Amino acid sequence: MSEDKVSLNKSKKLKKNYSLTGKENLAGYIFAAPVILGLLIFTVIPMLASLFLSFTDYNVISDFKMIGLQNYKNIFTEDFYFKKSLQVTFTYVIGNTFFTLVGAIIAALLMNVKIKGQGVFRTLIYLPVVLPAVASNILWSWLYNPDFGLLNMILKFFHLPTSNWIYDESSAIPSLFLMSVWACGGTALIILAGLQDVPQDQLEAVEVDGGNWLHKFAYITIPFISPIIFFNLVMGFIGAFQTFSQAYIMTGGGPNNATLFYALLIYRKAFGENQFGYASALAWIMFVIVGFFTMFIFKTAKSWVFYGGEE
Amino acid sequence: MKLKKINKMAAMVFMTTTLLVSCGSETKDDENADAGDSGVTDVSGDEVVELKFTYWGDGLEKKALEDLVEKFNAEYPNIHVTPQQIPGDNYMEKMNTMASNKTLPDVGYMKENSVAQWGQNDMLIDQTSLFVAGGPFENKFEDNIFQYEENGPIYGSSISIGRVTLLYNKDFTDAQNIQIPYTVDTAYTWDEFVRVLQELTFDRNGKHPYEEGFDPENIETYGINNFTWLWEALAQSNGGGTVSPDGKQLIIATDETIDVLDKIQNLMYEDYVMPKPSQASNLPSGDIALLTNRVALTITGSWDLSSIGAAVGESGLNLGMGVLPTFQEQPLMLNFGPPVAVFNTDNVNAHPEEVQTFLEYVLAPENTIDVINSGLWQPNDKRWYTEPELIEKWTSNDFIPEHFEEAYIYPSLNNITQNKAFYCEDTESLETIISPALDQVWLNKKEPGDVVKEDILPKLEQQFGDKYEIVVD
Repeated sequence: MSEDKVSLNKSKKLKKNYSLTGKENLAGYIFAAPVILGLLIFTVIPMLASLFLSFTDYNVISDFKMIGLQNYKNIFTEDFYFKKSLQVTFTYVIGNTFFTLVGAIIAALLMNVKIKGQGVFRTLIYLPVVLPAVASNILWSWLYNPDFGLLNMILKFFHLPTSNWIYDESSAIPSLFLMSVWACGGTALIILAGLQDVPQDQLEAVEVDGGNWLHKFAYITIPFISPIIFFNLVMGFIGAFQTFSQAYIMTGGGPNNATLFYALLIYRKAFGENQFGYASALAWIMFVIVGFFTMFIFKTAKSWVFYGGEE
Repeated sequence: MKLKKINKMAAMVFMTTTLLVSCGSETKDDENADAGDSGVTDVSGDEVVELKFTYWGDGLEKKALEDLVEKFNAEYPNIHVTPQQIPGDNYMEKMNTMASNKTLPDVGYMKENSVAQWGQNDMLIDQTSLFVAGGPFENKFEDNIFQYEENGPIYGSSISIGRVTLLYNKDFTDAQNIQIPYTVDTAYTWDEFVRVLQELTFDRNGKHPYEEGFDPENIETYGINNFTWLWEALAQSNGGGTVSPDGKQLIIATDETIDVLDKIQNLMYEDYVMPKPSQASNLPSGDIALLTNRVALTITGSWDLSSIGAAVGESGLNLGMGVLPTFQEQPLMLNFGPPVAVFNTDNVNAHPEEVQTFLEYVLAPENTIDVINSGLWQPNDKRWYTEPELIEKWTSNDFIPEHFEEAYIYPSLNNITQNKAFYCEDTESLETIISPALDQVWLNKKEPGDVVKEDILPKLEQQFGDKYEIVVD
């Protein structure tokens, strides 16, 4: 009998606890709702809508027709700017990701050196990140001016050949690499955080074994910060695919479409020519390309990213 | 338990979504109600029709149009117009957004290159009846009407007239003993024009381009500004251009067009009288460039009389106006001017008379006289170019240069070549193909003939098929 009572009391207590958990759950859902709804309303639904639109000839101002895969077919067979913009974008993605990462690692290593005024140097390297994109783009377009820009003046001072920078088809994209390296402070800061986690004892062990700074960097530092490099590689890669403002503000896609980034092509098709269905199809092709290459990077990660202790 | 959680979560998402959607639809219903029956009753018991008017423009234009609307609202108590300024660069993005959620204005500016598409998709109201003889717009410039087929619908006409013209600092040309021609009969030939530009160009050591030791990298005064974006003004004057005046042929590969492209390229890279694109980006704005003798002559749109005209009063610029060089018998002026369109909204269809009243009001030069007298706009009505008392109303300002009548008013009536945006529905697509390719000409990377034949023609053929006859010389 008493045992029964005890079990009854227990079950009551359990029930009470359960209902409390339910309330807590409810509160949790309510708090999470803005994010879930935000994701649904501003990301998932628009994405599905754009997928649907990519099969139509939607131009906003008239009723749309379902045209199946016609947009995709036209993109691959008739659009002479598609190939050009892919070529431009891939060149930029590869160059930009590489140079930004290398630049950021170098900047992080410099920021990690214990010298006087370390804080000032760190701030200076990070400063470009807080500048608005428009301001820094305009600043760089002045620096790049072939006749009066600072860069050519420096080159002239050292009697080096000058460049037409963003005014020349062949140097327009490399000029943009330089800009990205300048703004690598954000990436550098993350790498710096990683550098500070590199175990000192292992670095010292290399020293004891007679290794120099290069050995320490190659065999200890790089493996330890490889997860951070991996993260920045993926983020930089995806970000570079979406590059828009440099071309929109500085070059307008020129000269002769040398900086016609894929995102700019989508923008032109949608807002210049009102072909929203077509632009949606372009966007989905980009989505697939970015997804594919991101997966590819993830697949290769196993062979070069080191998560301490794992084989 | 897991299932319950998921159910609860789903229920919450559903509830919140429903709430949001219902809020949204309530707003939309309200807007639809506004659009469908926007009349409200004023104190006197009469119905007041609400209209929305959109435009772009700078501070001056904003003030002028807001004043105009205020005056209109006071004069017509049964109509209430609400003006809305939209940044010019993003104007069509905003219009597309408004079109997609059915909140388009009733009357508004339109970007020239989008008029055809919007008109053909029934988004704009045909204004033809207003332009017939005896109609309120019978005296508007025919060249500034947006009409894409012979006797087809008219989707609007320019609120102001812009013409490509030649402006200069008269003190500077006088100092060089050069008189710029101001009548179409005495216009320079191209060779004369280049010779004069060379006389007006000086390097840092005071040398002209034809003198030995001239330093093209350090030019103090350029003979002319970089006007490559207006290349069609000269090409059309030479009988070339992009699209033939009847809209049936693509004439970019004709000798007349290529010749002009070649001549403009030479101004930069052989004659050294015009800044290259990179040099041009470092020159000050048109008024300062003239004032500081960085450029001697400026080929630009007449709307620049606003900023350059301001320099007359504020900085003592002695402004001169001439005519463009001629290629054939007389020079031609390329025209511009965004239209005021009437949108196909329920409100417009419910209140056509009120809309027409406002349209007539906003397009009447006497109601926009302040903007006209600022130099930004020029009247869109031919009577303002022919009747002395009307001419007097807008040409007696300090900044109106000497010989304005010969250099601007006469050619505006007699020497116009129409901008393709007024008659060619594919203007935007054509420019998307042609403008980037011409960068190679302006950067001296390729000869114009090669650019046209190798980079432009194949794309035009692919894009338009046999829609146009492509003329190749």
